[in-house]
Amino acid sequence: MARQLTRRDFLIMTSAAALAACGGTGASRTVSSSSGGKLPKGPVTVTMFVFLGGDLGKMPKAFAQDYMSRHPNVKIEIYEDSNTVGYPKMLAAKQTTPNQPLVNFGFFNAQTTAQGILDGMWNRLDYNAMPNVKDVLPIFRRDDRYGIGIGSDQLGLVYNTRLISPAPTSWTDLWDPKYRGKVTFFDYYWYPVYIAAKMNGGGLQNMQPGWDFWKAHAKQIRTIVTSNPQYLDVLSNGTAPLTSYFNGTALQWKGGGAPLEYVPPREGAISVPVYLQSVQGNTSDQNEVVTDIINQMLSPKWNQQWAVTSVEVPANQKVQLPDTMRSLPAFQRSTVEKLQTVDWTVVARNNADWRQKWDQDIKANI
Amino acid sequence: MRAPARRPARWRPAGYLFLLPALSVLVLFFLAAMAVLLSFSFERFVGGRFLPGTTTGNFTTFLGGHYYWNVIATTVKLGAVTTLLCALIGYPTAYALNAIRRPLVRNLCYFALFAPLLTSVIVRSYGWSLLLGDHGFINQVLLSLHTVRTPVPMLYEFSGVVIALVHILLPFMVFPVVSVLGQLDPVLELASADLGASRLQTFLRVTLPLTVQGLVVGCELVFALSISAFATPSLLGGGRVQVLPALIYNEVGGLNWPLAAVESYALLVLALAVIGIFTLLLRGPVARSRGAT
Repeated sequence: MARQLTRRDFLIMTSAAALAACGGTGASRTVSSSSGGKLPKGPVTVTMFVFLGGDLGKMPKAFAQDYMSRHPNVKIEIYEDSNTVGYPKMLAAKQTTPNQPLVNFGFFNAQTTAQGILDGMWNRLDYNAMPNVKDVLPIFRRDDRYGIGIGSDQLGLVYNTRLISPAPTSWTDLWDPKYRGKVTFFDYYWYPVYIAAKMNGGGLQNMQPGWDFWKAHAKQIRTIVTSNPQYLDVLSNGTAPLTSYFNGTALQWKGGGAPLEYVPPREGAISVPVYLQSVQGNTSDQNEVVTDIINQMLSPKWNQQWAVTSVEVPANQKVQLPDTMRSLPAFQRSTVEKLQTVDWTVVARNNADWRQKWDQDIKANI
Repeated sequence: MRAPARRPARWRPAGYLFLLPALSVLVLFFLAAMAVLLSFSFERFVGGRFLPGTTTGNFTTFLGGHYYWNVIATTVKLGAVTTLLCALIGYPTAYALNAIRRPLVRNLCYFALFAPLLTSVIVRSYGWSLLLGDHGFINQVLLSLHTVRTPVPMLYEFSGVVIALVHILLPFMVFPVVSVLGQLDPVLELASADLGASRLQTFLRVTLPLTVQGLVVGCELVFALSISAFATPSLLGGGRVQVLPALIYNEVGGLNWPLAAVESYALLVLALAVIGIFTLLLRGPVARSRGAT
């Protein structure tokens, strides 16, 4: 069973990252070794699942180019999609052609990782064959060895700085009457329901108080969006200037010129780790290559690129974060201490039911 | 004078061979897919995973849920309103297009009408969001003219979805009507006028009955396309306009494929039922128009 992220773990993790950043170990300039010379010599093609949107594809694509230049017999194809849309296709492929998976490895968020464990989607990784694992913070390693973390984003509040002042500070701002009809969420977004459940006597195992609460406050929501470009549009043009979303995505939007800002709520943001997974159905040659690739992606050089482009806490404690990143609110000690962790297995088990409740109790009443 | 007796049709097997490609596509890609969906609809999906065994629970969940009936009602309402508006706008448009004699003007009009089909539905929908939004062009004009005090909510509302669908689907109404109008013998209208009928009477008693077949085909096309529209209600409905195709998409994303399969069948049955009713209701006028020609 995977370990849950605790506040203490995150504090240790970020302290270590900050220490590495301040101490300047110099390790970020080194490139990790491969997984021990076991790589096949014949041609091997592997497909990598990459998150669609923002800058999330930059590091994986750059890595693929670099890896292929160093391993001419390996071809890395890119499959770019959101986990929400892409995972059902992977599951369909697993059911119809189990020995020809849609993708061979890639980036998957914590929820999809948990769902994949339920569906028997992942291979267990051989941590012993991955030298860079020793530098990965324990919280990103998994006891079940279904994948390994590469970084962690967080969910908090995102708002339009031109239209909302002073800045929101609490999850309760999402249902503050002064923002009635000004809130937007992604289509199927259970996080604010979970927060409302917690604040009303429930929790992840008992979400009913949250559903009841949001059913009564559904008019807070101006619109539900179905894509990141649409999300950026409604937030930026003022149609719905307040939401809850990822720190990393919000800062990428801000970097692109949008009048948006991310705020960690005072009750604590929700941490959302990202894992690298190897998919069942790979050939043995593909598994060798995938293990080597995942190991190299965890090296300080590539993990830093991932952390910077996705604005996430890196898994490798030797990663040196730039000053601009370390000064962000999401990376402050006070934020990290309050981070809320989630049992993603519970989420995966209840996902279909929650999605129905989202449609029936919230969308039907906005 | 008595009409000559019709000869019994001869069985021409070679003629049916021409149907083979279309039938093959239908059987391979539609009926086979529907068969797979049917098997899915009896599968058990509990606690985020597929379990062994079969169940009819997905059907009882769907048919017994007040929410699902509301979604069906919204889907039918969207189809009906879009079809009605397309008919009201499309028929006069087709009539006018048919009356234009100058080829250049007629072709320009055709181009303007069919232009929406040349762009992606996503692009069109985003275009409408720029026009219909609270800060969009239409509301800016209305506000600057002091016609309204606050922006009229159109985007992320039922009305916005209908406007966009009518724009997109109008050619599917106009084309069949134009086609039938083009086949209409002008002598019939002249004869009606010679016999003393006014232009309105000629239209109502000659032209309309003879072209109602095109209208029916247009209505069937528009209705079927509007109740199965996914992108436009998703992008412009803002979650407020919940229709069956979007619901199916959500269930697929949530891996609840058995319920998605049931909903897919519901959409198919809905389309067939409404189109069947449509055809039955208009059987009289169509039969009369066939008799007249």
